[in-house]
Amino acid sequence: MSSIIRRMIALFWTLIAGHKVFQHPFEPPRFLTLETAQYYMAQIVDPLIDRGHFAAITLTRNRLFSQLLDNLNKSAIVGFPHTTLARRLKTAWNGDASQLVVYDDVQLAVNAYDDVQLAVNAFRAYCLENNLLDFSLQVELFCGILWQNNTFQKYFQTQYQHLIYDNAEEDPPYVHDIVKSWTKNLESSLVIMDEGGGLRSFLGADPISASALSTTADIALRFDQNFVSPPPIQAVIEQISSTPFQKLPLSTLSAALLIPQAQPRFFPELLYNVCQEISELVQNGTPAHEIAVLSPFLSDPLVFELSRRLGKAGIPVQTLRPSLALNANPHVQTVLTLASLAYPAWQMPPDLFQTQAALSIAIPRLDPLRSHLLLKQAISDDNRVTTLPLIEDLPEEISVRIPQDVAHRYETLRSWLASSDPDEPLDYFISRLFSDVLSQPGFGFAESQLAGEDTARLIESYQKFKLPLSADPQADASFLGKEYYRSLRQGLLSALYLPDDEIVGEPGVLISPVMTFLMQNRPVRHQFWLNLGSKGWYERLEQPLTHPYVLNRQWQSGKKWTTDNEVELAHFNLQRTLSGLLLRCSGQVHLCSSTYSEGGTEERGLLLTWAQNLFRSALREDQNG
Amino acid sequence: MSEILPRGFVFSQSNLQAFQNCRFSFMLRYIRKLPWPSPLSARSASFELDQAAGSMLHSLIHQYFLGIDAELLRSCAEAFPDARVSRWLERFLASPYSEILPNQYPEHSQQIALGGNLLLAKFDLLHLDDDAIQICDWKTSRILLNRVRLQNRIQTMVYALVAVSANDSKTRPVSMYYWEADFPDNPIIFEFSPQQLIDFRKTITNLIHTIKSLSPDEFIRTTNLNHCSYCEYQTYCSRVGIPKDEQAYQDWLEIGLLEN
Repeated sequence: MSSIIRRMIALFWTLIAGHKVFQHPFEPPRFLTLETAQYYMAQIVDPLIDRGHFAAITLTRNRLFSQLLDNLNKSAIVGFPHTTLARRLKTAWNGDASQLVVYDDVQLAVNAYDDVQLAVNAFRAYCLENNLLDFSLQVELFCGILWQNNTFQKYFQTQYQHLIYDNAEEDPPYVHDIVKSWTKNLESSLVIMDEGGGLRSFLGADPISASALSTTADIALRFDQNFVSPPPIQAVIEQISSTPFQKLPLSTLSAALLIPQAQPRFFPELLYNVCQEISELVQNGTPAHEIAVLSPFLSDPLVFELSRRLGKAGIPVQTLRPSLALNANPHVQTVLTLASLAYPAWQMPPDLFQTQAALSIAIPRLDPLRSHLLLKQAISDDNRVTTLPLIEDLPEEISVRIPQDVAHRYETLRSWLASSDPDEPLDYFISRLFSDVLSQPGFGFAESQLAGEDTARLIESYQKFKLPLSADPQADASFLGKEYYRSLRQGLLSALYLPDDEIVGEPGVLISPVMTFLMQNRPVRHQFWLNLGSKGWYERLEQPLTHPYVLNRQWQSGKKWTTDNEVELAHFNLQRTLSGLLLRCSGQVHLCSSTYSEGGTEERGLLLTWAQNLFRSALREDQNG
Repeated sequence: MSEILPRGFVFSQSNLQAFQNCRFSFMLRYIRKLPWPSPLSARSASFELDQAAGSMLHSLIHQYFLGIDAELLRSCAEAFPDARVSRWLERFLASPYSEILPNQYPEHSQQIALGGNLLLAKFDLLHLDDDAIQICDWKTSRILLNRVRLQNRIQTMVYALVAVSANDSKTRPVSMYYWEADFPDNPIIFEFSPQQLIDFRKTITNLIHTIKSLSPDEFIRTTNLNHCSYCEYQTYCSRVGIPKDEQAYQDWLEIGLLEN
């Protein structure tokens, strides 16, 4: 729906302009992405922080900005005025001890919510002054102006005759409102929802609102037959939803859930065992793509280590990554480090190690040790590199250690950077750096498709970033490049977004975060559950400045959010996640835990306790029987 | 038959034109979907401006045919940073093509099956009259396009073919109007004869057949370096296009406008 909304606003901007909501209504709209919205939010909030607002909150700037935007989004998708955010949050806050860790005292907590209101009001006002459209404003304009307009309705209703709407449970209520109104004029419509869904509740998904759509349907069908899971897995699914605790026979349990004979102590041992088990399964005929390794969170080292081990055993691996961290990408880092050298006006020179790494990637035969020697001659007192030194200026004992061909390439790169135009737009600079130097024979990006792809995505990321900013006449190329680089370094632009659901790698063992796997809706024969002791299986993210369950259409106004609610939610989340995983398992689940977790701590979350209780009671029953 | 095309691949004016320009570029762009850093230069800046202005004019004309008040459209055109848009809109409003008639479909897509393949056309304006079919295409070229060249363009053939096949118009004559915003008094009009339509069908069918029959290594690089001028894969091929080729400029501008 969000892409339809954006397209419709762009097409019918003139209609919106006629309502004079914006200060310059006839100027073109400037659509914001999540990242550019954070950038503008930073422009609003940074001065507030300087004046002492948000003093009681300990949060990274990115998380602060994203929670403020999240509040605005919730007001739009649930359908209440953004000016009531603080009142809603304050009313539901019960001042309990866990929250005081964040707020110091009650008054500061109240102040924090007032700060939230101040920031979102100022952000919205700034958007209206400058034709900036973040997601929340797009939704409000679409629902409040376009959807009510006859010209728009005439167009929209003639575009489509039939609607098939799947995964309704993963959408927020404003989508259900639209669909409900839309279907009245369609020849036919089919709405599909999964009762065990609502996995994106923290993003505003409202399965209760979705299920209300069935009341307007001529025919409602409910399918409850499981075509995927074998009987032992189905028995576990039933056990999960039963209260009080229901015991299962050991034979059933052992057929569904596999536990190792001995628990490894450390996480690397666990990974070794997991890879061994996967190898055996593959050797015994299980296709690699019928195996998934799942964890609530997937760290880069975990993915790397599993991929490396499985790859060594000749087993193909696929990873599902919704995004790729910009700062973790060596090609992107190399290009931007070189850019920061070419644009001294940015006043953000790279440090020694950053430059050393960039040079070693740009010129493969210039190893880190030699590039270190070379750069040491030019670093400032604070370990920064402001310019690349000339080879001929180096002391002889250093210059002789650099092979002739490497020195020649270094000089090519150095002189190219030195002669670049400091007023050139950053995307042009990157494009030329790539084509003139880095992709040439002997340089690090030559004949590397991956380097080309990464560079293209970096250019695209910058172009998306500059799109709303460049409408400002004072935003020249140098300013735009600087702001992009600064935002990136501050973590505002954290990811290079890949196309939706992009699967990286050939068909093989899938390594994926639990939620991403569930959203893929793809069954596999064997699931390996890692980090069993982690609270990530059920706990919501800590968001002291917003609240997905309070800012929700199902929340009863005036109620307090208590610790009991939190515990109840954790159990509900765990039950829903486990059922979802088991419904997508056509064979067995391998429960994998080590005494010390990936982070090196002993974790004993609800999932681990549940599994232990289940096996303990089954064993006891078995021994007694 | 080659199976390298993605399942359900839809042929269109833009991808067929891209194939005609360069088979290798077609493979990188539509089959491998390879992102690659485009060569950017001062010339690209005017390319971007032309694309943005062209896209805005198309949007305003679209809104006009959807019934939005011309005065509101004028206000938006005037506030657009590129002054050409306002001028173009005025010329359009003064032209005979701005007449609002029944059965006009702005920015309308139609798809047909052609020998088991899908072929898509995105019309700027399709007018399905009882006794005739008219296709209008708005252009924002810097130079007036050559009539012969337009007649042989993939776009002309695809549009006529889809309009005829999708709208059961064996008995209705089909005509196509290329209206240039910078040359409003020189529209280029084609009225297609039945034999021309048969020829178009044959040409497009053969072209699709050729694409489908190629093995991956037969998607070779073009020998005409003019086509490389605005191609994003120049560095991938270690090539530099011949600059200032207006034909190549127009081809890539059209492909960009259609695909964005």
